[in-house]
Amino acid sequence: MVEPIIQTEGLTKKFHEKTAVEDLSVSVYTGEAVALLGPNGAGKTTTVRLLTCLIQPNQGSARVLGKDISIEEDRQYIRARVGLLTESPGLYDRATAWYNLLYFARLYQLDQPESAVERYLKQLELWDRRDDRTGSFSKGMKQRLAIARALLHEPDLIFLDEPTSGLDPAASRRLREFLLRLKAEGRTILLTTHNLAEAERVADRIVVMKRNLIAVDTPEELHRRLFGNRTRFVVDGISEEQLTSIRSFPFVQDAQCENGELLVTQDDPDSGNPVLVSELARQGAKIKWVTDDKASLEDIYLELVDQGDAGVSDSQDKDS
Amino acid sequence: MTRIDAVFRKEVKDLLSNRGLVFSFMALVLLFVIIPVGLMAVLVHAPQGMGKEESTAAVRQLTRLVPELEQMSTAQQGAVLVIRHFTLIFLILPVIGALGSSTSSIVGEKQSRSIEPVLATPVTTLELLLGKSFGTVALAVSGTWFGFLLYVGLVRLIAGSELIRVAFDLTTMMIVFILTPLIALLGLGAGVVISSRVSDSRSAQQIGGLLILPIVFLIVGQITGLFVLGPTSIMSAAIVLLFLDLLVLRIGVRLFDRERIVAEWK
Repeated sequence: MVEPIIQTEGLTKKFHEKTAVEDLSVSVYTGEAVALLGPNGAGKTTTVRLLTCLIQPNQGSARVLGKDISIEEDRQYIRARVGLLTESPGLYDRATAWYNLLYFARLYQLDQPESAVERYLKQLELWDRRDDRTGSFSKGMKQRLAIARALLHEPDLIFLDEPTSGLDPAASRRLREFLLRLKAEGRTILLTTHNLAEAERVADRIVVMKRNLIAVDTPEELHRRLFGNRTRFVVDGISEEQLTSIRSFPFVQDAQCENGELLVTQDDPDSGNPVLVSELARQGAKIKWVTDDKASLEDIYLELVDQGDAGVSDSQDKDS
Repeated sequence: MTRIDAVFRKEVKDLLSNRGLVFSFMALVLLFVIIPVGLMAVLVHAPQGMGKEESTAAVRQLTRLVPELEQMSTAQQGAVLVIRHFTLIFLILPVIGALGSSTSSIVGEKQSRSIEPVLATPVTTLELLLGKSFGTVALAVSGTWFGFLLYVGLVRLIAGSELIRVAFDLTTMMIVFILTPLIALLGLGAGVVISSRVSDSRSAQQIGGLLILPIVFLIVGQITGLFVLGPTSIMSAAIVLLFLDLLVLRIGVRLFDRERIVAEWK
């Protein structure tokens, strides 16, 4: 099995009496993009801070890049090799874009700091504004510069805390496209976000948390676990008899009529759908079209958070 | 380039670009130069009759240290006293400068949230604090020395080179060139310690302002003739200050809790 690049076991962080992260066990593998979702105060930022060695856990353990986040020497190693986009860009507003990056290139002790700065200013389309003070930058430009800062030392593992928060749709899209490029380069990305569309487009797997882990899996698998494999048959009128006959098939788990459409939950739609279409046609039903009934990530997320609220914690980590 | 050097350079650049901080400090420097120079100018050009008056306790004290004073008129003695006493004011400047810069630097970074990305890099707490300290102290001390050189230049222009020799002797030079950096370090250390406990730079500066009180005591003591600072007492003060600097910086490093800064500073 591939070694995870991040592996947490019962990770817990308390601030005084308040528990921010509780018993979090999750793994992230090299090259994958994972979105950390959860409501405000769910502990997403705290998790990122724990994994980037900004704070220390009270209980549990975590290994990042194979190193223990509780050992000081390992923490230095991790800090030198991961990239972090913090929740707030945290730039020096009185300094130029160039100097903001140069300072960090020097802190990472890069061999050729100037060329790294130039490369990322160009990649993030900020080269023309390199001599401008960042205080005059738009939110989108600041965010791009902060991402450049997180990438200067070419980290294999990148943490992005709310990368598109507060950005307009065009800036969000631009940033998302850049994230997809990073992913294509084979970098491992862990991002926290409230933007579910962004998570769906960028992430291979979704982690839903609310202090502790609620669920972790691919969106498709989460959908299957929550809603099963549902097929929507749009038919010109459906009778109670037809519904009963559909329900009688052993592979059909459930069949409901909803707004004149037939919703069938079944084990394997690929083999079940032809049988059901034949049956409906045999009964004289006029089938307009057949499609997967795919719930949105928003539906999945809200359902999972509701389950988390109800204490139905499905905290198993899928070791793919 | 080491990380300390990187932080130092950034600190100097950042502090110099903070116009409010630079202007207010330089205005204070100029004020501290203009007031004694003005007072001295009045005394130097006082009527000759004043020479017959009795010497004050402060002059009598200082005469033991600077025998040349006996040959001077009371007006000239007064001018020398003013010059020497106000030299002590240059000890206040590095405290204010270092305190203002360090609180602005540390509290300012936490307010702008620029400290979190820095703490996510491999920079150690010691590297960060040393870099910041060198930057802060360098600016506070260079500002103070600039003010002092201006002070000496103006005194020479108004009172002539003879008075300069009496007024600016070894003791004065030791005060400015030995005690100033040590006091700046103390101001900086206090800034770091206080900044780690308060959330805004104004509160930090107000609390740190208490550091000025011992210096005011020194000035008042000299003016009233309670004591006169000589090379031996300056060296003793320097040793005590060095010890205090190391102690306060050590406390500062301990109190600079990275986790608290990231998680609790808002």
